[in-house]
Amino acid sequence: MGASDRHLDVESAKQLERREPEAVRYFAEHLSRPCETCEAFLARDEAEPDGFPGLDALADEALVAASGRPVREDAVGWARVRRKLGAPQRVWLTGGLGAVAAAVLLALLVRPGTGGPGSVEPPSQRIKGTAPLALELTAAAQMPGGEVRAVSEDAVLPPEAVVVLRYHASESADALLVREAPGVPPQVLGRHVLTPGTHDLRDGEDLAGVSLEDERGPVTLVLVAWPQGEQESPALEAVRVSGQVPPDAAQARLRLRVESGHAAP
Amino acid sequence: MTEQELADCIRRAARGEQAACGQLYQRFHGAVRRVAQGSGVLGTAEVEDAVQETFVRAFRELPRLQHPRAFSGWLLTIARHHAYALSRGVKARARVEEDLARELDTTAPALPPSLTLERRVAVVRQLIEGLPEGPEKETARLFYLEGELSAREIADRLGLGKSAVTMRLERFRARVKRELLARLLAAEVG
Repeated sequence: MGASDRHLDVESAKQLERREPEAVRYFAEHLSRPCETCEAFLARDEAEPDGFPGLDALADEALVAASGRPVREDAVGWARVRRKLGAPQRVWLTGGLGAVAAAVLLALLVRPGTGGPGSVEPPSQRIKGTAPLALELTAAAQMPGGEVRAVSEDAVLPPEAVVVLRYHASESADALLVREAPGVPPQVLGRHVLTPGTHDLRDGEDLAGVSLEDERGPVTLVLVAWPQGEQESPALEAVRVSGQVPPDAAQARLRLRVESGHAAP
Repeated sequence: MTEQELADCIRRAARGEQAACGQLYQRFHGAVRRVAQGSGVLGTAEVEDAVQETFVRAFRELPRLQHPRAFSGWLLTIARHHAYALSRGVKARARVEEDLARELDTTAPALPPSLTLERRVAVVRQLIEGLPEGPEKETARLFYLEGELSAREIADRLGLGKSAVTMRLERFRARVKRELLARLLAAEVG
């Protein structure tokens, strides 16, 4: 084979890795034109020359950007990723908020909710002269086939389902979403700010979906909320220091059961 | 999101901030999914598995990333390896894990002006435009320019085998790599 008809192969890839000037010059010119032989080599899984790590990534970045198609929000996928990362209260909640979460969990353990699915546990105390925070929780589930269905009380869902929550709050509130299941400590799934009215529960701009992957049996989602405003800082501090849910906290609970093979709520 | 905002978001995600991870997921899940959808072997559920495994691994290893500018390519490299692993047997999956550990580039080497993302996208479009009319061009156009159908769906639409579509996409991707490698080498020659 003459010098003028060389193609990419294992040997020339090594030459390029060593940045041999002659090889670099030759292939800079040779590869500027279509070459089926070199492209066949580059199509091999192990073809990326070590001297040019990231060539695949450079190509993939360009290929996926070529359509310019806007990306749709994927609340379901994000919920599953968050779930797979495991123990979100340890991974995500750090510093003061982690302490808040742990304290709320403790309070939930010693003061389990008594209401039924979607019900509101009445506040044990209330700032004088104010009306109680009213809180309701409803849910829909995205099923394995992609359809979205309303979730009824004590619904039986498959582990592939993702639950999307909707709340009604009578006023602005700080809230924690907590997962309870028998035999395991409650798990804080996220901190949220509730606004008055009926809204989807969101993490920032994203829907706060709850993946049921790896769940088996009963699981309860609890939205614990207390009013925002002047009491916010003292309430958070009280939770952090004393391990008590703010006295004017409201809880809305949604009981579910996760069983394989169930395709409908 | 500007480049600076993206860099801030990546740094916050590396510290474990959930909201930042969520923003990265929403910004990049489409690109990761397209990489996985390029394999006609993978069904819808497997593609979603590849997407989730990619982000789980990326978020766990994000503190290793040395420069935010490397994030996109780094993430897509993880995606490509996971998609490949899902389409192969157990032995191949183990090898992919080893390869991935070795190949992941956490740095961001300076790129010549001829390889900015904008210029690379232009390369992709020009190469598709330059293909002769026929099934190869139609496959590349549907997958990379329209950007909605998976390789499997394209196979159904064109009445082709899944492996034929995968092979055409791989061939086109290799053509893009050849052009980009030529530019990298040309930049070194000066």
